[in-house]
Amino acid sequence: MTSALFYSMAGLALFAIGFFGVVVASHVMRKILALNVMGVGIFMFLIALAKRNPLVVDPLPHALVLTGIVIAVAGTALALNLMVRIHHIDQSSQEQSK
Amino acid sequence: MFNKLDIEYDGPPVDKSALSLIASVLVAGLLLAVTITIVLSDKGHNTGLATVITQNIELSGVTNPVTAVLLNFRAYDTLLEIAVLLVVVLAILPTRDHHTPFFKRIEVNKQNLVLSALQCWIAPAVVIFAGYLLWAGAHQPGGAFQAGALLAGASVLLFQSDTYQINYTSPIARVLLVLSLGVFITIGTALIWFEGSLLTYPLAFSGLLILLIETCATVSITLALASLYSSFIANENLSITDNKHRTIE
Amino acid sequence: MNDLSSSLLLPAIVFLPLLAAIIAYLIGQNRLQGPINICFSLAQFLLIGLTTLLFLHEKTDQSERYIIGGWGAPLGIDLIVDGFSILMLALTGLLTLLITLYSASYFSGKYSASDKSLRFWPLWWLLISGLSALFMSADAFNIYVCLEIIGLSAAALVALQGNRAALQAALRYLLVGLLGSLFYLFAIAILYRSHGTLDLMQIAETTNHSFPDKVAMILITIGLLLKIALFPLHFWLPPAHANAPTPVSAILSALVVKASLYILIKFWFDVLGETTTLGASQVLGALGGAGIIYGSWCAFRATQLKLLIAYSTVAQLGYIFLLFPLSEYSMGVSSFTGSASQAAVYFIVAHACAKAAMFLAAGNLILAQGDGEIAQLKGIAVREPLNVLVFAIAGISLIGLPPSAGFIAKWLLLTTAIESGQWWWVIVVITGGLLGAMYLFKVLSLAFSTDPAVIESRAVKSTAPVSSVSSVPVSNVMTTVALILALITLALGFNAEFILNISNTVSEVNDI
Repeated sequence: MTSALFYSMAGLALFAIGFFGVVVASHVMRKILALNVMGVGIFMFLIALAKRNPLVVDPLPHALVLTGIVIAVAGTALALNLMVRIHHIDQSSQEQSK
Repeated sequence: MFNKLDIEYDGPPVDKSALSLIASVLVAGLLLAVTITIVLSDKGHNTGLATVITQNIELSGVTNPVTAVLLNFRAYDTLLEIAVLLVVVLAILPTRDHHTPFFKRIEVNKQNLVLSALQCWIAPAVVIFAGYLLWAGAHQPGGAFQAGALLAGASVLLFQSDTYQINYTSPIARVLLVLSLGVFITIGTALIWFEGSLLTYPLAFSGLLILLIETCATVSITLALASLYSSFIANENLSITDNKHRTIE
Repeated sequence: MNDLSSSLLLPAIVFLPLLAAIIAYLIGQNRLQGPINICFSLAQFLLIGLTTLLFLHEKTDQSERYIIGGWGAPLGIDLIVDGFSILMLALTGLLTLLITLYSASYFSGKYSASDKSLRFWPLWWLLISGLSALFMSADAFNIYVCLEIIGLSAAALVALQGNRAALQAALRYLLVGLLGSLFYLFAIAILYRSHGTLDLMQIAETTNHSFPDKVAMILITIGLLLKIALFPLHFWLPPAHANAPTPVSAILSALVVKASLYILIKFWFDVLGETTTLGASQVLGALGGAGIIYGSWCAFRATQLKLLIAYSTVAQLGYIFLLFPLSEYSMGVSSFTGSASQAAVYFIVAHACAKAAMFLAAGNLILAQGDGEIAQLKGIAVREPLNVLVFAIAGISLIGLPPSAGFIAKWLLLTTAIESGQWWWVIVVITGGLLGAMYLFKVLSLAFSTDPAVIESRAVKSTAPVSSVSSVPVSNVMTTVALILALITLALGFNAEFILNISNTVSEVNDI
């Protein structure tokens, strides 16, 4: 077993674990984190894929991962923002009801 | 089950039933097994695009293959990716308060010694290192995104104290936030004029143009990431005003 | 000179909305905001119109490619247009123009807080550029980026409403969208691993029955079904579409779900066509059928007007999925040709126009009434006759009564089902039509009810200044736009040739 093969399997495992988390987790924060774990799993798979031939390094997956990371950051930021805003609305309505 | 989810979606999605637990374990396990079988059974395409990229790297204007892919071969993807970042910035940033200046420095009496020392010493060093990363991106790992992320990290350090404040809705900030997308589009379209095709860099200037785009991208990415970070700190005001402005619908 | 592949038109269709987004963001709060955006939408409409005319004029069997950066696939990214994508682009151009006109009134400050419009316009243009880029993309990873632009900006637009329900719907929509994109991205990684290219056509050339391709197809299907909201993965759609601002609801139902559907059709019939099986297409059809029945039933039971329309979208998407079992299946490959694909294409167009018209009219009715409850609509036809007329016309098309675009779409679907001997889909389609008639006539009969007591109490209410604070007179522009869309729906019913002509081009292109 080459190290690239090992890493790609680890990436796949991360994807599966992340999926499990997305479905099962009850809190939004956990779901967002689980989505990120899934994303990292794919990135790891892609990076391992770049080295599947021991003699050649394929730069394309690296570029895809860089693009993917920025998109993942953007999606996470938006999700967190929405979560925080809902939280604030809940808080202020609780204060009003008091 | 779905009917209840549809109309009365109350609080974050809660799914604790044993059935969904078992189902998701099964699905995740199946996913893992199937995909691992793929990896083990199929050798895959031998080299991917490595050979094509190596052959064309001379024509790209940079020597680092990843930068060549990001900003030359697949520059269109990078352009759209900057648009993705802009979407989120637009969605998150507060929209009021145009009049406070872009950058403000407030003298605070009580200063945290460690924090101000870090701000004085580490922040400038980070800025220089980010500049180096940006420059180095042409021939070794580095480039706009790494430099931008690093600078945004420095901004986290700066915003720990109230000494420095940036108003992300001021006109300057707006221009800087859209700078990279604007420059990217302008250069890409202008090149149609000169070279006959979108985003086709002329060989002699490709290195220079890529550096220009990367510099603008660094500025926009830094500001975007920093604004995302500070939006979480200063979120309180935003959400309350949004709540008050519930309108007719 | 008329060659599309060397002209500036294709990249301009993506770049113009991006430019519009930048300008809309920079000018900020300004009285010129509305007029400038209308100018941009007009320019975009003309650009797309010109592209469509050029494409039809050339009458090529081949799809047209535009090479970005002079590299060409597999190294670079190409843009590609064929009949189907031209049709989707034309639809995008038309709806962009009309909904921009509508939004210019809607966000003019009379109906919504001014800071909403500051966010709305840039996000709106980014969404349009994402849609346009998606319909032209020939690169698997580029499609992922486009899907993310669309998903993030759509979620941000839903969140614009700012109340708790809208934020929650947006968050859910966003998370589902991200999950779907991740499945898609994973499939792309697997495809790149086994094919060594990201270009769709090159993947299609080397695709075979291999196991990785099958898994990739399954992952893509799951991911995109989440985004399309096919039953039973539709749970996120009704709250998101019902809580968004009216123009956003219209574009979400009319185009955004169709964007993912477009990609699915592309992969299912073109790119990975070898991996599909008859059984899988029957499963998709069955889910579509279940969606028709379930969506219509939920729409019938809905108490909020916009929720009813959103559920109707779930049902209508189900009809389009009957394409998969009904399409011609030969030599282990189902093809996007023949009457089933024509029906699907017609359904997409008819539903886009009718649903946009319906959402806009519903938005107007809600503005006039000050309330989204269906029960409150009693006797509204007296006060807002035009908007109720639009609602009725759109409803006729959604039910599938002649003369409307929906009728032709359903007719094509039914004849295909009978010809192919799959009579069970006929039952589903007819039941869906009856249920559709039930929920739409429920609204219409309320609107036309002339119970004198109700009208009188309404009149009393309107004289009392306090109780009618929430209702606003609807501007003429907003009614007119909805009316134009409804008339287009009717016109498409009379002039079926036009769309079928383009969809015939589709079949030719995909034959090759």
